[in-house]
Amino acid sequence: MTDIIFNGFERALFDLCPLDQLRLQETPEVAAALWQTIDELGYTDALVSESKGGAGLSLTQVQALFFMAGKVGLSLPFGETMMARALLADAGHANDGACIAMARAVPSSGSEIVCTDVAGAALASQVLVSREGEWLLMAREAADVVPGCYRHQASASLRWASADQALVRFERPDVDVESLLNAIHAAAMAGAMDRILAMAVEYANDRRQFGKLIGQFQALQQELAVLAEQVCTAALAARMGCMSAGYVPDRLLAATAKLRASEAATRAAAIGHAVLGAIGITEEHPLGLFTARLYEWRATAGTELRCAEILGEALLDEPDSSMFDFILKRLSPSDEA
Amino acid sequence: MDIHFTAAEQAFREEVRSFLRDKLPAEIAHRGLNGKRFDKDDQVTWMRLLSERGWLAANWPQAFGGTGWSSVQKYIFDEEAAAAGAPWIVPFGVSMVAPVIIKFGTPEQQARFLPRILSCEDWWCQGYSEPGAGSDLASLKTRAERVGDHYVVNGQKTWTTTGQWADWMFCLVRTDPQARQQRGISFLLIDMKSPGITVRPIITLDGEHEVNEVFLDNVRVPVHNLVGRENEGWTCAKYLLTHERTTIAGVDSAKAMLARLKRIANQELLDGRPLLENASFRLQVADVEIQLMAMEMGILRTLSAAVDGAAPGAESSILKIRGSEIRQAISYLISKALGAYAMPFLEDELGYDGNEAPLYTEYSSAAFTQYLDMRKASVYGGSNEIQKNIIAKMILEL
Repeated sequence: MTDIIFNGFERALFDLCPLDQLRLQETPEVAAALWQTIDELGYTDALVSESKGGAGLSLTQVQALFFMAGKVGLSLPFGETMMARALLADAGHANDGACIAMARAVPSSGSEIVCTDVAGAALASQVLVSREGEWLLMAREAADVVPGCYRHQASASLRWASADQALVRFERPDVDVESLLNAIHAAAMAGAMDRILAMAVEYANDRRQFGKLIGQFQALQQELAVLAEQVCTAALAARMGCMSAGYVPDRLLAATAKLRASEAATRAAAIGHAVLGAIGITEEHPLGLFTARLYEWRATAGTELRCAEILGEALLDEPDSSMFDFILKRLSPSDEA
Repeated sequence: MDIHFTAAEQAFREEVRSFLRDKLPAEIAHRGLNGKRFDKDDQVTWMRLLSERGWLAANWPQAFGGTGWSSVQKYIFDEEAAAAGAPWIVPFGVSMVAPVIIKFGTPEQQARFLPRILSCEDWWCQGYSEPGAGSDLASLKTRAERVGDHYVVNGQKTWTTTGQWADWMFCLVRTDPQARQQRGISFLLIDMKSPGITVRPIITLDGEHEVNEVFLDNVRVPVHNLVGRENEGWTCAKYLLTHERTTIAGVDSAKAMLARLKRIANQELLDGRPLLENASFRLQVADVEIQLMAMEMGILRTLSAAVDGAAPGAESSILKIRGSEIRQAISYLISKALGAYAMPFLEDELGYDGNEAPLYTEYSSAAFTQYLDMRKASVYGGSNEIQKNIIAKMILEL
């Protein structure tokens, strides 16, 4: 585990994103100032190759950064920006320090570009949109915006009148936006769930009812143990989802990671809320911020249905493989990664 | 046990239907049928209409202005009203504090408070939970000290639903700090306009302001606002909670929600066919409908037993658990049926109608907020975990 090299990043993030500021950081003004500071930490160009001024790290190596951002509760689309910068740099475009959300355009015959439920879109100044093999860097300001249901201020559905509004256009048909987002979101979700576990354990060791700590009730202990299992398997799957020597993830591994994270998410949110009771469903407590993000990630880009479909189709495409062979061959990270 | 409706009950159903057709304002019904928000005006308007017809207080004795309905009639009324999209009858006054005043109050208290509940002049709220006393309600700490002919109340209540609109609060306070747990608690009626009361909003996950914190700082409450005897308020509290739990299953609103789910799933398309024709989705709808039918039978059994003279007991805990689970499941399926259309957050749309835009449909705008709102159903009214404790103790005798 090489995550230790990022301990400095985690410490800095915890300082920048204290729990009592997280809700405020979902608002565009506060998030914009926060982005400046995050970007200056120097981790955002980690996936950009060294020849283009980045650190040239692999997805495997930076997985821990996505995880940490999710765990800390960073409101901005941090992983998306890292990925977008790598793509833009490879296409020969300079980095101007923008925070960049990422989305797939809804297929449409008309000239307009519509992206639904883009995580963190309202906090980003640009959106890198994938449309049938072509990538379009769009100014968020130029879009019509409908707020998202999970994070009203942070996320949004977007609509631009035409691709002519693009700041930058390039072809990269080999890169599948859904897989990129699956890998990033699975890691961020695992991080968020890790934090939910920590909050639930802390609360269970603090809250008293019926004369004792609620963590002393066996019913709660069992729930917390189940939560820990969910968090642990999601984290492991997220690590696999990012196993790649470059920055483009393996499609099947990314789908596996996102599927596991999404399955774990509803369970983790339910248990987290069960342990914290009514206080957890209010704006007084940060738990709801983390669970709302889990639900948003679960519903955006590769949903459970989509991920299961990707895996199912891949399996059916290899009629000669047994399930065991398939898992061994296709769902086990290779050594080179 | 007979769970068939009699001819008289069928006739009553027709009477309720025709009243709803004639009197329920169309714009209120429209909001109800689409799962949108009701404001205070909507709810008071509807309750006044019912009051004029003599149908507001289903659970009161007729001598006090109650309907004199059997529990089956009340069940029929609730079902028809929900199906028509009517707002619920706000329970805090009519269904919660009033039965306590009727059973434990003095004639003066009855004459003073009940008519104003019936005419919807007073909005009531419940002062039970405290930051340190949720599931463990009996550990409440709000203190009331007797000084002359007043109690001086100090403490903090929380999760006070619609406390921001309330004229009065029925409140559990500790009058004897030496007595253990349930003993030493009293049931006080507190004027929300009293000096020393501060109401602070608590905003929930769905962005709604429904619950509040209420701070009581040297609030003076006349001794004649004590209901029942001093230090015996727990008896009132328990009596009130059994009333809360018999209607809390929400079978009426569950049926209305199921009808909406089917309407939506018939309109939403999957591969060019109505979603409801999709085998997998159909199975999920059928599953929840079967659970709902089973619960309805359970309720009718409970009601028919009650008609035969038995008071609903721990069965109401079973119904509360099942009822909240079923409504949560339906709200989930509605959001699922709408998919991406349930996603946009359109604040204006929740209360009022706007133009249809490509990213959502008229009936989708409130789906997700209702989904989030339904999450609280397993927490309130005695959380489902507490209900399971009751079942373990009272039914299984563990």
